[in-house]
Amino acid sequence: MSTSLDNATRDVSPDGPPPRQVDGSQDADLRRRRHAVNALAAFGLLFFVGWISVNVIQALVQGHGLGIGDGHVQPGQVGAQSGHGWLGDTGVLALTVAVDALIVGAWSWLAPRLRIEGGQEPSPEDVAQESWYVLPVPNLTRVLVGVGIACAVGVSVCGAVLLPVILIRYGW
Amino acid sequence: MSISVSPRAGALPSFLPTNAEGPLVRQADRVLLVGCLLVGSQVLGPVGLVILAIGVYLLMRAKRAGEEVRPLAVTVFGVFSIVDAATNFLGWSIDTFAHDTHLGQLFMNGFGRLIDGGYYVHYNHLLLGGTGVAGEKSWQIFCVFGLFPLRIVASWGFMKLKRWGFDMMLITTWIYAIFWFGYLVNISVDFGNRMGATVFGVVGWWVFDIWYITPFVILPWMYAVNRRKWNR
Repeated sequence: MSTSLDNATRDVSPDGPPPRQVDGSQDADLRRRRHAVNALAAFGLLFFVGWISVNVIQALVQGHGLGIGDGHVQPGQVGAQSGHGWLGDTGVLALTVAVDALIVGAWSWLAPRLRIEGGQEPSPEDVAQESWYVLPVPNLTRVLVGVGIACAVGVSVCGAVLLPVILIRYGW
Repeated sequence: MSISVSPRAGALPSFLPTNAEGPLVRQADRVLLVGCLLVGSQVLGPVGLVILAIGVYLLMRAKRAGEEVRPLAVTVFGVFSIVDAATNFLGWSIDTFAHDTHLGQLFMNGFGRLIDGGYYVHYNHLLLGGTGVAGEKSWQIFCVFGLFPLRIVASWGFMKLKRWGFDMMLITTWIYAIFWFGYLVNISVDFGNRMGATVFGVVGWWVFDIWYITPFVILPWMYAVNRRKWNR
């Protein structure tokens, strides 16, 4: 970690260096930001622990079971799965992909045009010398990166196994 | 793999601005995007993971070649956000636009019976078709037309170190975090027809959905980084 606190405090303002303050309030700002970052990280964990607990209690109280061998699928709720034939369904699905592409295209046209310019932007050469972090949090970053990688793998695996499991269990 | 937090001198040709990206980084990003789209397709997820790993390897190769490469955390969070948004976007697009197709009903009703009862109880009975839960449908429309496509675009801009990418990433991250709260209220108040009416119950729903926690992972970190680095 080569980032010094002095270097980091220069970058607290998102749009350029803040005015010089001689009363040490920049350090105070940085301390407050650190508290807020830690609070956000802790809240993220507590949020999910709390909500999962609520749902588990709901399942137990309402007698639905946790789903470990005691699931409660409501009978007679799944109607006939008809569709529009191979050709019609292919057309609808292709249209869905096309509409999706159109929506993403519209946002990708709009978003870059909404760049908010800062008042006094430093030159790229100056920015290149700055740290990536205004608040050095290497341990938190490592944990979050690890969680991020695990979640990307989780999304991928869960998404990939879903359709095969449906086909095996319920058929085509 | 270490997480770089210190500035590093790049080796770009002298005629390029300091914040320009090199050709090897561009190539690696194209591979990463393909990997994200494959994972987002759901069915080809594991193939996409391999492609993503190749993309990260190419980034490391670009760094060894002397090109200026963003920190690994930026890449991981960008990729994670695209994968998350793309997967949700595709799934909910099928329920929004293709809920009458055989594949759409097979997929949604199967998902409903296994994970979330809202996708088979009274399915295709509402005005807009698809899920039979009005609250779920309103979240879907909100996300299919707004949140998820914008987040895909924002995440790409964020990875490419665009200022608008950083700003949009922050905006969509807050929206997504608040969305999580609203969505969990929605599903919990109708517990009996949602998690409670499935094969895998509460455990199944959370095991399947816990991976979509991008906003809570990224939000604290975004307030620790130097926004001026996103200056392209």
